[in-house]
Amino acid sequence: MRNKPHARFALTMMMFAGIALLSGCVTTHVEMDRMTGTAFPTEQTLDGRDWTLESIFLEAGHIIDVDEDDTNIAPLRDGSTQQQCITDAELETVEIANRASPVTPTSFACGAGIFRGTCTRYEAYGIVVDHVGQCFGSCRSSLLGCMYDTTDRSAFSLYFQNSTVSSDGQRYLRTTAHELGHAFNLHHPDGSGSETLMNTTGTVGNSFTYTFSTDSEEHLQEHDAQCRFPGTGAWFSVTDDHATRHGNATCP
Amino acid sequence: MNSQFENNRNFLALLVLLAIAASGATALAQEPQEIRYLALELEPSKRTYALGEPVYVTVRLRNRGTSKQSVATMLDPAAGFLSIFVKPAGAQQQQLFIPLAVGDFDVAPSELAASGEMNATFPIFFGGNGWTFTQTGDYDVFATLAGSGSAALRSTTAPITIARGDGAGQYLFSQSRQDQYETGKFLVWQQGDHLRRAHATLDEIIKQFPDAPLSNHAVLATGVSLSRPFHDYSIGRVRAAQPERALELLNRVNINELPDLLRLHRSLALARAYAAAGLRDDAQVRLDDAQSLAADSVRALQQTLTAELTYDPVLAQMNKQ
Repeated sequence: MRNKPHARFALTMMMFAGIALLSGCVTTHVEMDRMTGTAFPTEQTLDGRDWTLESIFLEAGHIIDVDEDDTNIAPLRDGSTQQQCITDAELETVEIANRASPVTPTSFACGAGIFRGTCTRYEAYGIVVDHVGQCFGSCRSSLLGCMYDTTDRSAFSLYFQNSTVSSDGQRYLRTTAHELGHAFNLHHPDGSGSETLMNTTGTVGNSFTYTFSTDSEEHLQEHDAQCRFPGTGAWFSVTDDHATRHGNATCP
Repeated sequence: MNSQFENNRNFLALLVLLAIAASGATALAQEPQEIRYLALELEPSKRTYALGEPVYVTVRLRNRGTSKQSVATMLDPAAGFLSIFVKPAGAQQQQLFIPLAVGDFDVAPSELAASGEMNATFPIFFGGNGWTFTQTGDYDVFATLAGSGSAALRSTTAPITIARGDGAGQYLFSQSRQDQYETGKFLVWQQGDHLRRAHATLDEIIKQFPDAPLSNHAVLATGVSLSRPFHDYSIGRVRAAQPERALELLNRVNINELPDLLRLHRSLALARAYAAAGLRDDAQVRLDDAQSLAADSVRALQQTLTAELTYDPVLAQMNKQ
């Protein structure tokens, strides 16, 4: 009888451990590559807190593992000159040449004993290029980042020739989280409120946070995996309740 | 009696009119301030397309008020504020068109002057969910523009008919998903040497259906692509421009049914190719064509022209001279 509370405590702790294991079992691996002459986004302090890409997404309930991979991809030159603007088609070839991770998620056995189960690792790819970007059909110096192929929501680009990206670390980290948010199937209208991450950088001006809006968090935490994680489907394929904000319901 | 009845009837009619006016005023008061004086129009480049033919639309935002209005910076769906919906005739639900790209930019919301207009022209035939019009029939197309809060502005609805054509579309949509996707990307991007399945598919379509509108677009896209170099990281090499081949293709294009945006792309590609071939006078004529096409546009084509004259090395050099 005296052991019962201890047994209950042990069981509770095991349950917590199991839940922690299972929740930690779904992760997103973010492979980041960059061209020579560029830099990855770095840790930033905002509103008295230190922020990284990992902590931004952890705050929204997601474990992401950022893997800074290639750091010296040389921009191709046409003769002696380097092109100023990289097109979406050319970006796709950068990804083909340098992406080491798969597009689709991988599942693998994990845990032990009664907590043995299947873990899933989703994949996203980010490339920092030493160019201005196209994205809207023609080159624009105002472009900070782009998800250049919405068919599978698995990759995004950041443009180091944009002066904000190259000289404003806080906004650069924000744009990176914003583009990764698109890979998680979030949209600009999900940036309810004027300061949250899915608003465009031009909209938030000088007042911004590293947090997602309530609508975005609801999507990130509750919606079906195939409508949520990178590499699982087309952008905007969302669940019914998410769709009510966008006027469409197409989650398979 | 008749007079009293007449008076009562007039009084009732007045009450009804007042009630209607009041309800109208209430509705007007409930309409968000920011969209009350804005009008959104959607216009396809033509009314009837052959199956597989690329569909382009122009969206115009007009300020009908007497004071300036704060509006979204860009109307292109890739900016993430404008949504395009396509509804097949008789269907219950419309489908959202997903643009092939979406971007983050650091331009603050702009102000649209009283009586001012902004516009954008873009393709809606292929996007994140693949090809949009894969069946013949009638479709309704409209746009919504997100405002602050839940306010959204809805455009006029434009009918589009997708006709059977001469078989090019049926051939395309009988190919594998990968072939269709690569072909869609090549036509949207107007480049992509690495999209080998697209080249094989389009070559076959041009061979089998030389007069099809889709073949015309394929010739145009290939000509535009060859008029400039392609930085192909997948093979680690820059493919140089091929001006002679580009000129041969671009001069074959039938421009009669092309949207203005593609006519602009063709003129700029011809200017680029003539300049690269050392034919400066011909190049200047084509650049002048491009500038007059853009001059007729309020905004969309001007932005494309400005971008090309800034970032294309050949055109930038011509523009300086």
